Amino acid sequence: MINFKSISEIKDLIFENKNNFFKILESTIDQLESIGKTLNALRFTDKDFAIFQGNKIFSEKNFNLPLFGVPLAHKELFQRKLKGGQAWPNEGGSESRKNLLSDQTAKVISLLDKAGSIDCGRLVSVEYAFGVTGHNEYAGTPKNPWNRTYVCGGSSSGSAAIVASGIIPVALGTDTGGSVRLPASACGLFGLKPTQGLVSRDGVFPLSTSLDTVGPLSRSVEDAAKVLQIISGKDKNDNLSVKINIPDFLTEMKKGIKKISIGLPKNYFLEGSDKIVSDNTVKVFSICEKLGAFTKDIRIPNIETANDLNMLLISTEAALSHKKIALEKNKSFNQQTLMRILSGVFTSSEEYKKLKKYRIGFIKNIVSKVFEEVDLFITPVWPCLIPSIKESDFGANDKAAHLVRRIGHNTRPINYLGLPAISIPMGFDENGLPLSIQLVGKPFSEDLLLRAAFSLEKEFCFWDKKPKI
Amino acid sequence: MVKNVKNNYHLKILNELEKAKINKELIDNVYGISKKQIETLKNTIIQDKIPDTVQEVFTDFLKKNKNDKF
Repeated sequence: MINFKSISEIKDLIFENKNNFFKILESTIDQLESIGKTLNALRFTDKDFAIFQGNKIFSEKNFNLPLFGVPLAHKELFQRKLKGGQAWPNEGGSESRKNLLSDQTAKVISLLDKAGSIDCGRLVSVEYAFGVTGHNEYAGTPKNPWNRTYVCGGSSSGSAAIVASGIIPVALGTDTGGSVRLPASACGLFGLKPTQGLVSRDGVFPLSTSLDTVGPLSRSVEDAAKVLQIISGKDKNDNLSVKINIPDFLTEMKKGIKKISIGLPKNYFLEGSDKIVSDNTVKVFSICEKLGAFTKDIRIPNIETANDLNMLLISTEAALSHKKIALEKNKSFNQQTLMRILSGVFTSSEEYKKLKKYRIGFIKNIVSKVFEEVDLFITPVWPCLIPSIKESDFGANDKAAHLVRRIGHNTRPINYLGLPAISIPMGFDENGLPLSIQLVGKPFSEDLLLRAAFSLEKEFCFWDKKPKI
Repeated sequence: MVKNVKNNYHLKILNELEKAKINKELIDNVYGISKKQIETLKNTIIQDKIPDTVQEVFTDFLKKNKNDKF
């Protein structure tokens, strides 16, 4: 009923007739249960809770809410506690946490509730959000709606599969090394990773306390902007949260790409990606120039170390949070996840301090050098074509570790730098899978990223492209 | 099994992993990956006069660029 519709279009349908709302809700939950399960993308729905939320917003009659009645579902890392002591599962996509429940409601989920959205359930995450292909033996490996023998990418794989299928317009994901942008890119969506500190992580299952971020995956830039507007802002319960004046993203995004300066770093990003992916990025760079952006070749110094050190920081902090359960319940973990978490247990407290201190200096250096020259820079998202589910299913060995390092080549350094970025779909590869590029901005320049993304969205008309469901 | 480990902290952790009955091949892999990454860290040099947090870096950057978001 709301398939492939935007937030605005869904609200229009609801305002036409109150009965439409309950039909929409019923149909959305049915599709999550049917298509979502076929794609291995659904963890659970909660129809009773969704109807309760629907009745509540209609009784309050606050029709100006930005997401009034819009059904959504999110990655399973976002906790929800219900009234009367009940709560939604909080398993982190892992058998090791089977039957564990949420002990609070995530801040961003509360903000979406207040904005009038209806929370229908939770979508599959890679185990502990620690993986980039989307494989999950326990919760299911989501299939890419564009070609079901291919991966969705991870770790917000369920969110990407469900939004790309057109069941809901947007879903939240988390991004620690590319986990919003990689699946968004593999499934032909916009994936926005905000600046470190813009969006609260309170109540979100942690992977890396320094690097985790929360962002939307959506079929349109407008829907990403709407959700970002709602979830942005200072939160005293998140120690990395920053107080800044939040721009009106919907107004800003319409200002166009003209006069925004965009850099193309050939070192590392293009050099480390396959030719087809690099060529695609250069092509989009030329289109930006044609649309009126200032373009310039740039070099990002010493970026090579950011990938390795980001891996070390993630595994060190994952080990700090999850070492106890990883040792006690190691038989309940997928061996790859266990390997990734345990590779952080050897980092001493002195090395951890150095790791964090070095990162701050590194960011200071890069931010001052790069963003004196340009406002944004462009890179590929995936460094290679999207792999099939079978070809990317490795055991816990060096080959698997190499694959993870390679797939996160273009996204992981951006988390290390704490910068905002957006993946933008623009075409298809030889296997019928979407191709995308990534734009990276200076700190808190989400408004500029959305401006550029909105211009490119109009150019590529990706909104009209739909997978066969 | 991992051999010739002289670092006491690493020995302690390896002992914990063995006690938890982690697969020996996995311990080898994990230790190998960890050593490579820590080696990268050892080769880094911390600059003088850097802020205490990433947020401070961002705040300074935006103030210098006369951004009105603060």
